[in-house]
Amino acid sequence: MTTPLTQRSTPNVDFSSNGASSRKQLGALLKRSLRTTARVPQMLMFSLTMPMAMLLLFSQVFRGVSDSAQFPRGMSYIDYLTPAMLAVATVMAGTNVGVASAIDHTNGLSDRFRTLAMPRSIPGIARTINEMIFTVARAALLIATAAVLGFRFRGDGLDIVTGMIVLIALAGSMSALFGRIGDHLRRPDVVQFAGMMVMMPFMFVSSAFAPLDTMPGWMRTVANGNPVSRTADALREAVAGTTTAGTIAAALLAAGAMWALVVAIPAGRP
Amino acid sequence: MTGATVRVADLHVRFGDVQALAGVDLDVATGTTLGVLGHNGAGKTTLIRVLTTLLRPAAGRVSIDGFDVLTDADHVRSRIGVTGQYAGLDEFLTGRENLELIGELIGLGRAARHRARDLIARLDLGNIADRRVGTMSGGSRRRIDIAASLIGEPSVLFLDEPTTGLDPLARGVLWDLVADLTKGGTTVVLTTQYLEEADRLADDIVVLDHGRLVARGTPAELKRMVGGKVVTATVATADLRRLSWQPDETRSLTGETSRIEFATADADEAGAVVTRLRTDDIAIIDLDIASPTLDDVFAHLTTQGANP
Repeated sequence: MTTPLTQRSTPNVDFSSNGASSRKQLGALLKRSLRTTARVPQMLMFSLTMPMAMLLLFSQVFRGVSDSAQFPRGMSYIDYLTPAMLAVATVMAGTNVGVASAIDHTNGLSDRFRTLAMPRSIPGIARTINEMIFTVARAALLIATAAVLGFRFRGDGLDIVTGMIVLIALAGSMSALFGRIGDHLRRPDVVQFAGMMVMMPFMFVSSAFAPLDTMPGWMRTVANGNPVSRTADALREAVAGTTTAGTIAAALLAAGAMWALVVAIPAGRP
Repeated sequence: MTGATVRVADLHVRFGDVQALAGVDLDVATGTTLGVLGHNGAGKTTLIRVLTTLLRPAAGRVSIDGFDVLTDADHVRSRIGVTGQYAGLDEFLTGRENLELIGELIGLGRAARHRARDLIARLDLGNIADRRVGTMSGGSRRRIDIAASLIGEPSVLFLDEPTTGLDPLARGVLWDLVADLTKGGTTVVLTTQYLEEADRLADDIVVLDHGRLVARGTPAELKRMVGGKVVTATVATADLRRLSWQPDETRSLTGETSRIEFATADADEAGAVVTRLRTDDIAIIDLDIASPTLDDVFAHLTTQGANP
């Protein structure tokens, strides 16, 4: 029997009328996320440096994969691996979003935001855009590293644009997923661990490191629906200059479906 | 008194089977400070969370400045400032950057920088404002946190156990700050476990126990309700037989020494107890005359004050 108190007619100024627009609030929080990410070495490592190290290691350790019968003919291993690392690094960096969200819960900042006249979704959206920006930076670093290792891009400008759109869409869906995990689990250490557990299947049950034909049937089915597979495939086409609308659409659809699924889960406690 | 800024009527909050708040009624007059006293788990933080729009009650009516916390949450939010038990700050930003961020989020735009600068000067935060919050002491964080809750010049400020975990010096600085604010006309709702804190800052006090208000009054009224001083003396056990009257409590310490306790109505009567010990020719090894603590308030209220 919650009956609202009748609102007193009040001469008070309506503060909300000169309050911040959501766009300005988003801008302020994005500036904060960019600053924060740049100041936390372990987050920067995980987001930018580690994918470079993995690219370096994998390109040397696993290059024998290109000798197997199922490996696409005429493709070098570094050209096969680089698009995969772009997709996989986006999943890895996505876990940072979960940790950042959990930190806001433990230090009380998330409560402070909720006591301000601001839509509840804004901090999460700011983190997602922040992650998208870092995805572009990471792509530039990874491609530069790959170029040193012999990677050659055979596509054109349109391939670059569509490839980046696909990658950014994946970053958006992963940010939403890990952000929700952070909102629900609320402790940075727990979120870090849970993030790893979620990250692994996304990374490895996919077409990123091995062709799907080499997997058992059930795993192939799962891997087929994995947005990481769809993104890696689309990026491989972009790299080869053979982009097709179908692959792009499939990648965007997989990322979009993932995002919609996550957004359908309530954000957490009232 | 210019009417109540905060009104709470028949507030109920339940967490599963636990009744966190069971029918709380209170009003806070404009420009006054209400102290909400209670042990851990009494419902203090739950009350603050409802008042600051963070938690939906199961039943009851709550309004701030005439706006309902459920139906007019954004109007309420533009009128309040909140300092929770955990400083709500970004540890990777400096104090100043945190203040500017909150200023931008409440729509100050470019004025956010000026407001932050003013607050830093007014609260004397100049020496810590440009350090990252993560490197600050608990006391410094709290001061920045309070500054953050003042950015919007709130008409009601909520302080949830603002001095828990602070050393006495930092606590004193914070008390002065809150006292200054109320002088400026801000209405303050303060939760605390410390009677001394409520005594120092609050115009009125309510005592919460298991989600119910078990007492309300001014600090002086509450103390009168609890009673006077407790005299505790350490004496030689051999001397006890010379005592001409029975202590309220006797405890053997080492065998050779004992601790005796007398509950008295006021300071004058406490003095008489000491005089009488001397008259009985009892050597006092140690002596302590204590005012009622929050524990005494609770002991009193839960045994005699269940129906205030």
